[in-house]
Amino acid sequence: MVAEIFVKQLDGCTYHSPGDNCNCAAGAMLLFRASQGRIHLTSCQVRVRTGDRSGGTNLEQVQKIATSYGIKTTLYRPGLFPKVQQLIESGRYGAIIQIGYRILRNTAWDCFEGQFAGGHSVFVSAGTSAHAREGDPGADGRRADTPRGYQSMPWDLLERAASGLPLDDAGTLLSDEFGSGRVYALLTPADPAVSSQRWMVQINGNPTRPATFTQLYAGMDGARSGRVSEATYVCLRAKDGAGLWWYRILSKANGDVTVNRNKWFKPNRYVTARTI
Amino acid sequence: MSQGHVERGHADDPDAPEQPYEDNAPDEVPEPGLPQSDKETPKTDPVPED
Repeated sequence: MVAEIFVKQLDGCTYHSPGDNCNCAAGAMLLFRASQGRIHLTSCQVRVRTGDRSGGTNLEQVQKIATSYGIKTTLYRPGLFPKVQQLIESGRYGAIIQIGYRILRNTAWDCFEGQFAGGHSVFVSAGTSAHAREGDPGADGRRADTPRGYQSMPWDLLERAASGLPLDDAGTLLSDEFGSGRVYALLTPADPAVSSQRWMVQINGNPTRPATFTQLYAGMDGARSGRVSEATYVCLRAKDGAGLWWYRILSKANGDVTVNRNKWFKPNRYVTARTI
Repeated sequence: MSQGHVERGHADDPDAPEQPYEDNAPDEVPEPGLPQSDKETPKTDPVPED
């Protein structure tokens, strides 16, 4: 399941002017998604973590914060817009996309009443073949005509806004520098892939050789939680954000309760599995 | 394969290394596929705060 949250930028931050914190708000949305909801920060809290009290922020600063939490993001500087779109449409990725707001000014997606045309960041959480599900940090519904939360935006409009990103004070746009169809984006790691398929998994280490035991964990990438030398379990299988498979223990092979229920382990040379 | 459950040897040796397993290879990281700029991405501009 996709972990999604909307984070507004105008949150009364006293550390630094919240008008500068769109990228921090988008970063908070990225961190929530990439951690499956474990990291829940405001835009102001992200801003504090940058340690930067001057002007706006960029994608590298959010990437550094993500790395500090052990989250591996991918920075596109630039990337092909259709490729980023394809990854988001797959349902396993979200991304911060930098845009030029001039393209959105006075459209239905304008969150600033036509008063803003600069560089901005939005978080794209999902998408269909036609539309992106984008969270504009200004979409807090503060006025009757201000969008509230995630909006559905045509991909071609978002692509034009990405191409219209101003790169400098001289007005150079992303499309001027790299051509059309490019994007500056920070991509989440892939969401864990979870399947309802059940597996019969046999752990077959040597009880006299601890090095052959299988390590158990409290969660995927969680704390270590004991080891097992020999066992057969009914399990579910899932893929973590780094793309590694894990088994989650449901029961003993005969369906009885096990003390290791809901613990996780990774495939290894002492593990054999078959679908059931 | 026996369906009877065997579960023993719950050793508590957290320092022992796990065995490497080549079949559990991670997903490929989606690379940009384009030459990358040597400049950082631009900092965003201030929006009106009403």
